[in-house]
Amino acid sequence: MKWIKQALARPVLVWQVIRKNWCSFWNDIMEDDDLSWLRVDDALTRVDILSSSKYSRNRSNHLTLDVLLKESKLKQQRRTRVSQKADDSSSSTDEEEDDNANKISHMITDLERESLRIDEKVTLHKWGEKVFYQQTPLETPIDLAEDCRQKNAELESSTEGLLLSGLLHASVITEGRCDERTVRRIFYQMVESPDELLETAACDFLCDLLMLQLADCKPICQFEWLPTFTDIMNVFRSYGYRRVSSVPITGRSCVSAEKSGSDPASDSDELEGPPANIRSFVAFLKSLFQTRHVHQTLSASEAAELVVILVHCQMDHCIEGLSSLFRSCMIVLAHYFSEEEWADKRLQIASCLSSLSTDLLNQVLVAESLHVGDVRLCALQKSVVILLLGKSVETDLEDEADILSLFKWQDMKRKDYDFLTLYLQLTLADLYLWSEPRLEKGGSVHEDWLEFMKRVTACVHGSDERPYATKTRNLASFLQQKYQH
Amino acid sequence: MPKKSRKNDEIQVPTTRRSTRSKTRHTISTERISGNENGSAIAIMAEMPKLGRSNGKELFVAPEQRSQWMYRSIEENLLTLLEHSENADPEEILEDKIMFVEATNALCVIPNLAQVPTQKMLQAVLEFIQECSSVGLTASSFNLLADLEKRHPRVRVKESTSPDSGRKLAELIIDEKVWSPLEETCQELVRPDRQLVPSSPTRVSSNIFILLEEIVRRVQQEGGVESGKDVVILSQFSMLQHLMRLLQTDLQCRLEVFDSDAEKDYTLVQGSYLCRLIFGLTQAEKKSFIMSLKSIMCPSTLETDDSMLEDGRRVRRVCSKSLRRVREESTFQDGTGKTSDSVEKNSKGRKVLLPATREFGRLASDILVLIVKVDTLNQMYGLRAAACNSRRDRLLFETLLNLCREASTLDAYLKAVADPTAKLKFVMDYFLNFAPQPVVRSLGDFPLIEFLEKLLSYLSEKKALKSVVKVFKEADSLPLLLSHAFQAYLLLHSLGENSTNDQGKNDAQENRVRICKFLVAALINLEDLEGPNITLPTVKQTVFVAKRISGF
Repeated sequence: MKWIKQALARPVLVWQVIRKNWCSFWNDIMEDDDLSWLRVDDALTRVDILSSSKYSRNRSNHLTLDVLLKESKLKQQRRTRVSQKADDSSSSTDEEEDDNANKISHMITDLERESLRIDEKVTLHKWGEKVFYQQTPLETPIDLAEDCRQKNAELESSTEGLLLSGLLHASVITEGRCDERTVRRIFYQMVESPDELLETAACDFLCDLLMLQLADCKPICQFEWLPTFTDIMNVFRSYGYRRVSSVPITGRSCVSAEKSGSDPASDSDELEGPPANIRSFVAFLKSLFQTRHVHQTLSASEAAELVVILVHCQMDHCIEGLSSLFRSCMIVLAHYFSEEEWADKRLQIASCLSSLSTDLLNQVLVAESLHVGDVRLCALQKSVVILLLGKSVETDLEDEADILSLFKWQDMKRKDYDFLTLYLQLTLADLYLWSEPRLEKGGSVHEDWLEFMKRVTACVHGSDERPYATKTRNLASFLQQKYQH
Repeated sequence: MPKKSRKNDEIQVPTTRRSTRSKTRHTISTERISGNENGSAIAIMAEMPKLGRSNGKELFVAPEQRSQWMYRSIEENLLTLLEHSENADPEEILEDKIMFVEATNALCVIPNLAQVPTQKMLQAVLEFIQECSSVGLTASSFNLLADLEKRHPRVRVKESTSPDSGRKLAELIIDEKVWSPLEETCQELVRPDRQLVPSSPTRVSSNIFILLEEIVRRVQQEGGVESGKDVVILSQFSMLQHLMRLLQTDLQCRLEVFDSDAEKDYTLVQGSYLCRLIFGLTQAEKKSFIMSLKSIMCPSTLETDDSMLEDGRRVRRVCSKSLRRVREESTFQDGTGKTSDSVEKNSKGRKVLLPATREFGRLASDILVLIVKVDTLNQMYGLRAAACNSRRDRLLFETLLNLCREASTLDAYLKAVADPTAKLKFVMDYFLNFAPQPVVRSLGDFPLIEFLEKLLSYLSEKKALKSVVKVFKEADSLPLLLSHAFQAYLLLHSLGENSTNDQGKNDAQENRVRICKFLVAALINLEDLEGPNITLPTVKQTVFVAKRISGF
């Protein structure tokens, strides 16, 4: 779930380290004899603590004149001693002051360096992954640059001109067919054109014609060409999409197997990430997938590969604003499969999805992106979750009872207990169990689950300073409420 | 009769542990055909949630089975997540909000017997969009609202079959428990001290009138629809799309029942949010509302700079960059007015992609199409409705017609009207309103296609054309009008061709050739008359297509 992303990016660690460093810095200063003026007398401090505690204790009962006099004397003594120390230390030489200043500046530099190092460490906990690298040119049969130049000069007879005015749409419908050259041209304008008007007009044209059908479910327009899986992959690749880690489902050469010639590290900012045309491209894919009964352009394996790619794309931050579009496309694609194909491919897709990232947080993100209230994606999500949970403990898990067994022998009182992993595991388990029909209220698994939640809230104190301890406690508390109903 | 593919429209809700009690499998639909005007057969691309038709009954079982205590308890528990102290860390606040969204999704969308979201819960989610704090939160809140609207529609149609006649009956079901921001806006309009003015530049209003003002203001101040912070643009877009969806769903359901009602009970349509909103405005406010829509719809503010079109690759880069925003630009404005770095900023400062800026214009055009539909119905049936609104004039339509005297607005509006019948009707009304009276009288009152043929035949004569050209403010308006009418005609012709026999097909072909000839003659004459004044390539394009189709 997305809230975990932010939860894990908390600067708790940073503060702990800063505090630790500050203490050591302070101790260094205190050990220096020349800085003794800064030191507060231990005895006095003790007296002060005692007196204050005594004071508060007495105040709770009754205050006597003796007590007040005693306290007043002690305060006076303390003030005198502190002022004497200050007078002594003011006699230190200028050289010593310089040394001290150097020491302090060194310490501050060290502290800053350490803080930066920790900051980097914490940043690693931020969700998301770079999925899109540098764009590469797409081999298109049209010369976009030339088209751009001639756009205004030849609008009356060009495909683009007719497309923008809407006349191409009417003309193609009247003819009942769209020739290969025209479709290719419009498709590449949609995926490549820098002109937003042209991009959206091309997208509208293609989507409209794909979706328009006669009463007998026959398409109103016959396309003489539609992009194949290879064409679709080429577009993704040209947008900079890379998936290096996992094995493709299709077993053929595709984006995942190919590595761009450019080094991701040397990517220039200008061409990094996909162009805005990706929104039209995904909208087109959605329309294409919706008309499988008419235009079956993908095999089941190819469709499965695309499911993985669509999920993977959503791990990149730049896609966040288009999440609604990707979600709807993913739902349609999940229903592209026949029942048999889906039964056959679901586990394969789940396996691919579970290996998209090695970071548990991003793995949770993968599972979370399937959380869209669709029966097929829900089943896929459960398969992914159980694989991920299994991977996290290096065991094969099969059902909800196995999942619950993960939490049985947890020693949360250990000082170095890894609450981060527990937190993510609980989130994954929740994704599985919440849509598990066999988790009957009052059943043993349900009871065990609630029991564990209670145990977490009991073992972790609200002010527990261990990393992610209170977060985990809050989550457990919330899940307890959720599952009790 | 054409229709869109519905194969994947219906999506099953995942089975949950609760489904063991109820063995039924529910389905919810995600999209539906929209934009059918006057019951036409043609379908358009716009997404529209299908309303709870077959599954509505089951969806509402769960909350009634639950105890009131539990109902309140869930709401309270969720809302507790949003309680923060004044000095709370912005990251923590954001985190809790995202948790709230996820929890609401888990309780109200995912389960088979999902909880109906309460008013406070819906308001909280809407608030997340309004406050423009983060791209991620806005996107997930918008997704949640869309899912909730599909899962728990406020208005839906229940279909049944009459036991006596076997006829299909449609009944309008309104679930008062489901809160809608439009209801709040309707109530606001009744207040005498209402103010339809944007209050804060960093906040997005859920009042559609104020929201449109805010968008116009941003466009004017910042020089384009795409200008401004990412998160503000996305929030405004999400809010407008959400409100538009609510308006559309509500009106479409009511129109469906109205169309199937033998008695044509117009109060059904009058009760729609759109009618209540539109007719709750004063005349000046109506005009201002239409003007706001026009400002957003006008394509001149959306076009990219042609001077950049030198090199394909470079242009692509430049344009893409202008459309993608750097996340770091987003800043978080908290309640105290203190601005801090966005909690959305990621380690590498990756850019965020947004929906196409033209989508704003499209949404504005869609709202105008709905308004014209309501206005037309009001004209037809409003008079018959007992003691209904006294302001039954066609101010809205007339305002729109006046705005459409500008060629750019006319083009944008006609491109938005997907239904060919509605498009032809608009063209007819346009001529009837603006053409000189003798011309109108000579055209007479005919069905749409015949009217078009008669009009083109009339305009193919140079003398007659001259008398009509004078009334148009801009030289591009008439060719645009004829081009759109021609497109609508071709679409209607293609659809009708498939449903007729051979003789009918031959007649239709002849008719098409005739219309093409008249059109070509009219446009060539027009070019002769207005040649240098016509700036758009519409005439040449239309002549090119008409010649190609008719084969001469």
